[in-house]
Amino acid sequence: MSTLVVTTVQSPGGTVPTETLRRGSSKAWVNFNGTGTVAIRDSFNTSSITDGGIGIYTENFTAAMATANFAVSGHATAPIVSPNGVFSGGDADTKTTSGVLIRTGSTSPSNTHQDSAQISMVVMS
Amino acid sequence: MKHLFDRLLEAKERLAPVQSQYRVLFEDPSQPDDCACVLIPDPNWMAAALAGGVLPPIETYIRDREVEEFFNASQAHLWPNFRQSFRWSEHGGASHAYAEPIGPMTEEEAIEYLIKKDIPPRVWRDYRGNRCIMKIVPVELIPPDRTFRGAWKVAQDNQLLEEAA
Repeated sequence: MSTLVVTTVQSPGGTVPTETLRRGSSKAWVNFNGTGTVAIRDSFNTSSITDGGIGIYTENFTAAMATANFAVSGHATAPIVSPNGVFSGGDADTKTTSGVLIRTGSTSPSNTHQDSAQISMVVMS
Repeated sequence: MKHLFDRLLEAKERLAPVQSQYRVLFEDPSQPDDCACVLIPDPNWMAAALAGGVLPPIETYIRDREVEEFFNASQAHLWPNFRQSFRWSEHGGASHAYAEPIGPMTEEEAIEYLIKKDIPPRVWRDYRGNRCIMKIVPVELIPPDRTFRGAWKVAQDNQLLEEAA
């Protein structure tokens, strides 16, 4: 493997500090199956997930985030029992620099936790 | 020493993922009404643990968690809007990020490492009750049918584990 050591990257439109590229990249992501025997398909910077019950999961990071003020985005395919898949976060106490709790569910017929076969989440900080 | 984040990037490039044959079933003694949780090891993390030279000593994670928990506890009495968010830059940085990596582990050692890293100490260190609240089980002993997932508890006998062994 070769290593490039540069402080800026130049394009026709100008230069970008490599630190900016680093800060703009995803710091952790995971894609897993939340149905049947829960298993992780692929990930980065994830040491494990904790299955806390129907539609409740915690992603645990290998390298902690610099601050607990990171952003989380996610996607969950529609659960089998409902056409409306929903991805949401937990309360503030479940978000630390080393992990974040997320919930998946459906809005129909009412707001309930549901498992999903394809759950993806991305963490930016 | 490279940052752990960079070591993970390199490890993901060169190591094939390893799906663990184990899961950790545990109950949180602080939430006695909740169902049992299942810890699922990440295949890329497991590959790094088995290969060695990537992950920091577990003691660094435990120390870092205590720093963050102490800070969060000091903010707990404040209204949510007045609480400060934890930032490693204000606490000298996370010690696990630049710690010297440890060597290769067996899968069993990696699971024990993961328990200490990702399960609260009140489960694996501080619990003094009579119930068994944590078990390392082969993945085939985790029921694939999640119909009654909200009622799962850790079995108090080892019959299934002994049969599986």
